[in-house]
Amino acid sequence: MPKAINIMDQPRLGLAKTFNLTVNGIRYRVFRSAVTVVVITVAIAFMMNIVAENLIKSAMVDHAKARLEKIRIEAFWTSRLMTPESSRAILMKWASAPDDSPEIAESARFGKFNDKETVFLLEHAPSAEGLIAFVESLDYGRQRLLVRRNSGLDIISHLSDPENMERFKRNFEPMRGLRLPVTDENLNSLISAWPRVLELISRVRNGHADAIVAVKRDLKGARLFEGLRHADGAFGEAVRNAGFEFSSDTASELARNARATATIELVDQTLDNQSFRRAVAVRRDLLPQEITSGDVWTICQTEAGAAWVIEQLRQIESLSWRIEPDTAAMLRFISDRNTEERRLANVEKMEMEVGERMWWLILLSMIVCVVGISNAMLMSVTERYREIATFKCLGALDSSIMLIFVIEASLLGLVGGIVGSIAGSVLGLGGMILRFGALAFTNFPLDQMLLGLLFSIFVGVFLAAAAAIFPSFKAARLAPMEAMRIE
Amino acid sequence: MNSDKHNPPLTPSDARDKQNLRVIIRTVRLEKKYVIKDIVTVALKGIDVEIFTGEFISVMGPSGSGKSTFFNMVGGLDQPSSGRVFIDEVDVAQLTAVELAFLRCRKIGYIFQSYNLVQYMTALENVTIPMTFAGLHADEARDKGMRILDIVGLKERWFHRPIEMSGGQQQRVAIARAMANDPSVLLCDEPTANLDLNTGKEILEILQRLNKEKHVTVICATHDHRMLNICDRLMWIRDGEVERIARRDEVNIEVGSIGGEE
Repeated sequence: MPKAINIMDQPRLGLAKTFNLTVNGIRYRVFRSAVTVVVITVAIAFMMNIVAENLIKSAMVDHAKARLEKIRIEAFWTSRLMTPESSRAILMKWASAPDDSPEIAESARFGKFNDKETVFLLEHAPSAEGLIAFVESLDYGRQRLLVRRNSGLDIISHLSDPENMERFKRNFEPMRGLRLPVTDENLNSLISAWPRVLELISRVRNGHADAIVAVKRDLKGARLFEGLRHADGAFGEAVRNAGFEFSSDTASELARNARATATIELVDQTLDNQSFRRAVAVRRDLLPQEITSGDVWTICQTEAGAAWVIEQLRQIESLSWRIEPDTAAMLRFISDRNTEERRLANVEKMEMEVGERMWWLILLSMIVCVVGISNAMLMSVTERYREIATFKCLGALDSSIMLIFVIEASLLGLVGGIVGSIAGSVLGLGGMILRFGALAFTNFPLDQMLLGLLFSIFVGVFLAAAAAIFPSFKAARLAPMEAMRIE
Repeated sequence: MNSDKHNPPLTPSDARDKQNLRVIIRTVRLEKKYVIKDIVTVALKGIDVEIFTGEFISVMGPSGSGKSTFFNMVGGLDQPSSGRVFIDEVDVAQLTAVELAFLRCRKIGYIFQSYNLVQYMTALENVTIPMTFAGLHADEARDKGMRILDIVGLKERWFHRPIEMSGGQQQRVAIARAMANDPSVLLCDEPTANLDLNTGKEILEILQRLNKEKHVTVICATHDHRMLNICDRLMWIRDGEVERIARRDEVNIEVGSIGGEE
């Protein structure tokens, strides 16, 4: 009963069956697979470590900037409440701030704008500011050629004269490689609108000046500094009534800073008192003449220390009246803030490290990943040539063999990626905690970290799969006996 | 080519119907050269043979004579340098990769000297994997695999991995695997070379039984003289050429001299 041989196409192995076959293979070769996974894990952990560290670093730098901004709030408001903004500053604000931002609302309030005027200024400010910024960015010679010696808002006022405009255009023509930031059409409408714009801006300035006068009246002769100490109370109300955009958050931050400044003044004055100086010297175990205000702040780092300073202050007749209920709390606050500022300064220094070096390091770690993972996959495919040959003898298609290896690599890459990215972020976070303590957790970039994790896992899977494709393709294409011979 | 010399008329020992005798494998001027660092080694120098359905043919020859190379060419495991292999009048060189896979999967069963079992699979899984490649359902494959393991006498050890089995048992699993998709041809490359006398005998008996009962064409490259007792024809290869092909009854008288030769 001999059978005839008829030859057809071999059916494709289903994805589910291939997957099963692969998973069984991994299960039985757990140890070898584990080695591959470890290599992938290390590579991915290395990359994720750098990514995590840099994410945390840049978040800390952002945070430090915001904190320092807050600390500088006092200077900012002192100047706002004493001198009106320059016309240029007003123009810049209208050119760049979002239409519905509080700054614009405040400015419009100062100028007593109606809706039409607000829209008018919002419309023309960007092109005016663009033109001014453009001219100011040119070198001195070109500036002279175009607008003579004018600068700032005067540039546009200067150009309002048709003769000057003619000169501007004539001289601009031969400047190669330069393009005006506004079209001719815009320029013309700007020039025609300019007197109106100037008028609106000066109305804002005048309004600001009026508001300053109103605030001063409310101070009734006291120093502005005294007022700021009560920014979260009546004074804040007065500032708000005068038309300033003065949120309660800003007010309380400002009041606290102002009170802190008063306390700093107080402590500076205590050092003139010899008995206080001696007491601090004894406590710090130093000579009296070596004592600086820094020593007092060091003492204030603890509750007990702050209480001790208050106690000493009470004994100084000339100063004891200046002790307020919150002075102890203030002493602690400033001491903490000093420490924080020192630490923030560290972070600011670190800013240099982020940026370019970060991309270089990430690139480097990616290269490590590519090399490490392709080597691992290359090895694990090459050492299975005999198995591939056997499978081919038994009727496996080239595509099935490749699929087996790609699935296997992806699974190993997935496991390695998950473990590696978690290990990498933990290590990165740990390193940052060691260097910066709890500061590492302030402004923790959780969403970016999660994105980084996903990215690393993806990189692991992708690189492993990609690295498996070439050797398995090579192996699958060989005739079975050739593959066996290679071993 | 003297076809009378190379292909003496076949008279199988059991009285099979002559009408059913067809040529299943035919080679025409089959040559294979290996080129390793510009040194050309000619392993096969133009082999012409015809192998019939249901036949048990032994390929004999000293090491390095080209037995294994011949075996690989006939099984479609390697590409000939020139010449052709026809399997049931189909030129193997003309087959696409997918058709070749079909051929290896269902029409030819391979048995190797070193078993080549997949180390991480159980005996049953090793037997069922060709069925998986053929698209058989997992349950069917398991049942069929157990039946075939029963034929080779390893039903009780289906869950053992290759390292847990003796050489003979491994080779029996390999035979079961080769039979998985009921092939027409069973190609054996020195199946008993790694085994002791008794186990080798068992393997040969299984092969003989499959040849008799399932009418599988068995092509067996071997050193083993016991093969003489069970094969229909013998083919000697020396230095890549067919030295002689003879029916068993013609050879039996000469056994002694052949034994001395090797």
